Amino acid sequence: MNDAEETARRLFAMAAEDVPPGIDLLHGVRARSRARVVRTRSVVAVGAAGIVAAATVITLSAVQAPSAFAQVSRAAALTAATSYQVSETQKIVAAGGKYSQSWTTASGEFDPARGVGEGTDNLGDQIRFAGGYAYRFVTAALRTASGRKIGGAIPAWASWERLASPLPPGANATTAQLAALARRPAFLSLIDPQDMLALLESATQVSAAGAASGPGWTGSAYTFGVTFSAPSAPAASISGTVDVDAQGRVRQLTVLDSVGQTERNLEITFGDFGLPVSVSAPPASETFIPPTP
Amino acid sequence: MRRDSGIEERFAAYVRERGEHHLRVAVLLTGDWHAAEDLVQASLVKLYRAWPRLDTAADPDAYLRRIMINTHRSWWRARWRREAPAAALPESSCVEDIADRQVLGALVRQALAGLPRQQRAVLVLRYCEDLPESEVAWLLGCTVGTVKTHAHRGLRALRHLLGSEFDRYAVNETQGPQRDSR
Repeated sequence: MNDAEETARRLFAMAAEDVPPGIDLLHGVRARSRARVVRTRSVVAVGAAGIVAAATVITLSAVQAPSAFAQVSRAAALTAATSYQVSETQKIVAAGGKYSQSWTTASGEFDPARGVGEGTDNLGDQIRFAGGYAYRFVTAALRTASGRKIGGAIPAWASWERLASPLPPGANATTAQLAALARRPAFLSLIDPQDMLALLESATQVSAAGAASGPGWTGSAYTFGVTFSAPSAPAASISGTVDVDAQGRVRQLTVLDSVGQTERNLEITFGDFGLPVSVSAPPASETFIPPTP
Repeated sequence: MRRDSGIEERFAAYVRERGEHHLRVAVLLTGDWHAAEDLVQASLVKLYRAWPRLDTAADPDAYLRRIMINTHRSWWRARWRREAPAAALPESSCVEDIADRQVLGALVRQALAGLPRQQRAVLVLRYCEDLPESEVAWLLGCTVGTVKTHAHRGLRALRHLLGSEFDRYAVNETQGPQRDSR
């Protein structure tokens, strides 16, 4: 085991050597210390305001909240049932905004009623949904990782890999779907918009946030929050905003997820509703189907 | 809270001298640089508050190490445990000409992130920090026997996850300077 220990030491050194530029630990510590003082001073004021706000929410919810909830829920269901084009941007904002990094962009088209769709991202990943399965294109990066036995070995002849679990038909928000969202495989940067619409449909904390508009449409904005749980994990929550057009369809969905001071920001834009989508499964001769674990 | 400027300067000097080392340890614990920076900064804030009370002869690294381990443990318990942060691998793999060394580094971080938390902590403290088993046991609040077991199983799991790369790297290192050795 001594050889293994020495190898581990070398591998760990390599894994920790590419420190990203721009990290200023001392600056971060000072900023956090100042923020803590301000936060402590604000607690009393926020607490008092919170009581007033809570009373206001209770009063308003009897009149307005069901309407906002109904609007958003209906928009998510309506959008999830029609075909559309989608574009996505994921960003990571780290260390309290000290530096921001654009992560990935992706686009695609989906026809949920027929269970077909496809998407690509700026990393070269491709995914297709057809026949109740998802297929991902085997990129050089994915093959490299596979060769190292992470994610399962993919044979050299395969251009596509069928994901092991068949996708559930439709877009019902289930715990399994949400958990699957959390376990999305590496090398698959496109977030399934149907998953996100299902998540939106299950949102319980919805509030109107004024008017919204975009190229060729006008509508209303809402804020929402969702709390859900995945197997063997504590409950988690995310929040975001959604723009709904005058026809009651989701136009823009922004989801904010945070871990410590690292924030993940996902923006999904929907459009071109009703377009014909023609996608078929990759040829069987080019598709690797991993054995069921 | 007003502080003695000498204390401030000593703390700042400590962060400048040792901060990056702890950042490197943190990335192995957390799996990605953003979370690592977050973990080290949160831990340094706690150390900063305790700094005036620290025995100046004591080793601040030991204090900070303990804070980091406890903070990471509490985060891990409190947060929804996600899959290995996807920011690391796609970010590295999207660049075609990226050095194999960096790709392997990202894979090692991903493999570590796939291990149980306690097992991962033992591997990092033993083989990155080079701490003796007794100190690792003290830090993690377990027995030396448990540390030995986690180390054995963790290395075996790491070898399994990294496959031939683990062995090939070791062989290359011993056979000749085919890779840059640190």
